[in-house]
Amino acid sequence: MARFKDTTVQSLQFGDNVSDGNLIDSLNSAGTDGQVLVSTGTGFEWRTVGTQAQSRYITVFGALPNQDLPAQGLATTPEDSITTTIDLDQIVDSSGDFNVLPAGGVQVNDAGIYLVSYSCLARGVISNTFDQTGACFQLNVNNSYVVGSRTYCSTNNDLDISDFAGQGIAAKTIILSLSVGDSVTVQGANATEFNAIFGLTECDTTRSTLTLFSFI
Amino acid sequence: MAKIKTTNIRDDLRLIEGFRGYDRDTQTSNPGQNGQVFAKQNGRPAWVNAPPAITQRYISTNGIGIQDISSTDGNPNTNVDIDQTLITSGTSDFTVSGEGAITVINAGIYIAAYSFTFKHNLAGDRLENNQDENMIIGQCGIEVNNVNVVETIGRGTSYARTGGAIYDNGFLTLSGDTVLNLAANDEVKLVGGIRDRDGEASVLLVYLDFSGLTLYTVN
Repeated sequence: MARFKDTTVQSLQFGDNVSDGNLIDSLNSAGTDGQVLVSTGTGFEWRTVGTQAQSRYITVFGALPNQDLPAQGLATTPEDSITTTIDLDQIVDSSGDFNVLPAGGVQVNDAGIYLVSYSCLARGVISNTFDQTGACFQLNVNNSYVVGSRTYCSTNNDLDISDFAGQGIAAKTIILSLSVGDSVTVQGANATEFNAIFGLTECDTTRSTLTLFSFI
Repeated sequence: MAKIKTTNIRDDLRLIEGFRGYDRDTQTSNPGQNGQVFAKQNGRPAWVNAPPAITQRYISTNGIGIQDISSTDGNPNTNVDIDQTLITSGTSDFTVSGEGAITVINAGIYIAAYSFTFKHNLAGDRLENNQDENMIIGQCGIEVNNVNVVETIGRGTSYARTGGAIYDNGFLTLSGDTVLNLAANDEVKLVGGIRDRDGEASVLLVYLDFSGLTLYTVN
């Protein structure tokens, strides 16, 4: 092995092609993909350090203009169960780090802190002589309610003006700490307190979205 | 010092001591300082300071129970009591007061998003149909250091109705978001209010479980 001392080199090329040749550090390591040379003050080592910021993101919407929102109790307390999954299964844009669930929603492939938001358009259904309706939505993670994520909108119809269906948007932004494989869905329900008798509601999923965003 | 021009290393290069980069400022080579990384700078390989790691600072809050708001001066100026921390990056980034105000510890550009869920009380307007008597307007917005961020103010109408033993009183959520350029120790809070046209002492019932504030930044 040739030995040089205090040698200046104009340039170094490792190997005759890209697949051979290494720069060995003081720990006898040739480094691995993604590692960088880090000075120890007297020598150097290959180390894994903070990488450039990358964003993980996805926005999904739906293909159903009138997904039914069934009555599920009063839906006015955190304990009230809302079990209808809004069918948001069409990708607006994605970094590719997610799986879209066939019934609607998103599964994350990487653990992390995510900024999660949804926006859902609901409308009343003209079906009766009473015109006051409402809808509510919430986030679920792995089929469990995300505390603080529920929102309400009014979908009041006005039957005095040619069966004009009322519409409203419910939206929420919240931070979630998600693990690998966690599924995030939006749930919806009729929130009209007398919904057992009057006031059907539906969700226009083509104008509803679910967005997840994270930096790594 | 021996000088070698462009050199091919067929196998490995093992350095017993330092690996020197070029310091453009001093026009000398140097072995780097502890923690520096080797990268290209000003067209030459050099030891440079490692880029800082990404830091996410975040908090989401909500509250517990129902808060009455009865002020009718036309402005959202009542603190919404969302003092429960759902998730946070830590108390070194945010603190939350007993009235739900969030103090940011670090200056930065923050995304701020709120939700404010309310309905009409039953004691005030309970006449039928779309009369003035059974309508209130709920409103809310974000304040920074007790000053309204006007662009965040949301308003919505809630109707109270009678229908015999059954009635609806109009659950509604107002939501909004904005970017805030905050200084260290700025205080951010959600405030609410009520407008009642007929002045029949209506009360806005704020459902704190379904109301909250989120702040998020990356640096």
